[in-house]
Amino acid sequence: MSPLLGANGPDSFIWWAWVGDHLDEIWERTVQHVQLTAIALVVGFAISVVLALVALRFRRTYAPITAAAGVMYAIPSLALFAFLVPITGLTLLTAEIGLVSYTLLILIRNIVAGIDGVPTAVREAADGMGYTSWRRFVAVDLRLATPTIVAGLRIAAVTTIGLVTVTALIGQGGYGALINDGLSRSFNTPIVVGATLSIAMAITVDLLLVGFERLVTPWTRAER
Amino acid sequence: MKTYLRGLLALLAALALLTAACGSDDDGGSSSDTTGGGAETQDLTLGGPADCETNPFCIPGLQRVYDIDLSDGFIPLEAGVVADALDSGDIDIALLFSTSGVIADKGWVVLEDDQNMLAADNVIPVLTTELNDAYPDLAGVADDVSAGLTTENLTEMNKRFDVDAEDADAIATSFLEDNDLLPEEGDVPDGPTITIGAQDFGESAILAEIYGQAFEAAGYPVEFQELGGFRDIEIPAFESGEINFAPEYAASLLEFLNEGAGEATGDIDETVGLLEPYLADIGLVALAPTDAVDTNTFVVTQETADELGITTISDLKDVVG
Repeated sequence: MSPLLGANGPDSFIWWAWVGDHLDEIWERTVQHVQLTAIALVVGFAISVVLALVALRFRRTYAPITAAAGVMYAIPSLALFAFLVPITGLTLLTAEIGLVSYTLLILIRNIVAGIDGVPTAVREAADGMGYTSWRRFVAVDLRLATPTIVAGLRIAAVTTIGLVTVTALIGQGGYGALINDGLSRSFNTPIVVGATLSIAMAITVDLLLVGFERLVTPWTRAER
Repeated sequence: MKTYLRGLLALLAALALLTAACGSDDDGGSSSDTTGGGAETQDLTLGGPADCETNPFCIPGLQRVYDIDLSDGFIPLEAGVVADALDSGDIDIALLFSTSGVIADKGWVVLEDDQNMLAADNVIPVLTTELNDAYPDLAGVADDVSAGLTTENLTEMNKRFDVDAEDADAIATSFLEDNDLLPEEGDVPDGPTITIGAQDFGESAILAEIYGQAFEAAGYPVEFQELGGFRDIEIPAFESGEINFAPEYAASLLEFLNEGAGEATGDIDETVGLLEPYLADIGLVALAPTDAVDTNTFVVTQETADELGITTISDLKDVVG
């Protein structure tokens, strides 16, 4: 059907001339994709930290909080957008409500698990050294929980980058707009470009987060 | 890094398996329906955009006018892959637009609408009364553009989009320039931004660009909004104020608003006359219709037509029972 190599045109697997002519659009979609992802992760992380702190302080709330986040995680994105469009319209807000809600379960669980994983002995040592509870939380608990929290961020980031493409259905673009355009006229090139760049972005962000983790947790390397 | 490569390889392997699995799915159209009346009836699959199930000139229309029920064999598809699905034999009947360039290109057979189900689906610009009142000269700009649109040039533009993979905005620009339809910049009063909604198929995007670029040239503030869907998204988007202008189709819009009452006729002026009160109810107004007509058509391959001996939609009745 569409030769991988050979005569280059609209029927090709990828039509390089089209790519060359549409660098502006591809760049614009990249910026949109980064924005949609970044807002979702920052807002999702902020909400998750608050909810995780509530869950840590009042243990009885942990089950209901994760249950609620689990339900949101389980809603098919298509259905969620269809449900939200009459309320919040074809807007960035609609897209972000969907994207943020899918990060919550992963992030809350990992933040709580990370902090729960701090050894009691370490905590007691900090208390013994006269740390106030807030200072102990920031300087000891949070630092030791970093690998688990970053692990959650990595999953959330990769999930979100893939999910952003779905928001093209409500006119919010990102690489999904390229994929949609290609689908709407069985034209391979924008689909290949959109999918490839989305995968590349997920891998890049994942690697950046790994690098960030190594930077802020130097002791984990010294141990080995 | 190594884990990464291993992960990617696993992903590629999974993709390959998935592709293979999808490829062997061609026998999906098996005949297991037992409700057919006649002895020799056959289940045919119809492929088309998802709104076919509710579109008065698709499945409900076939039922109303021809007493043909294709709802069991309906496969909802992205507008762009309907022709591919017919080409590959995944569907027996394709719902395509009469302005689609691919029908003649492939030598396919358009089933004749022998009982006149299809009505005057002329392209017609629709906008909010509010917008129309805010810009007294806007209708004139739109009318000039509308006068330049014909079924032929619309079909040609669709071919450039679907087959040659040109961009909707570039096609619109060259249409306006070639036909000398770009207006002079005029005195435009302060007013709302014209937000043009395009439905989820190429022709709608092209028409949105054509009107939008003409308005821009005349000095109006213009934005485009992809709807990612059809009339069922467009009308609510009008009501919520997210769009205030859209290229529409007279008969289909009428039948959408009257919930498939079957009022639309083959006469465009009559159809628009019937459409106007429904639009007024929801704060919309239609401008002058164009000569460009784009109806739904039911298309089969030459082989299917020969094999089943069908040339009209009525013939289909004998086949599916």
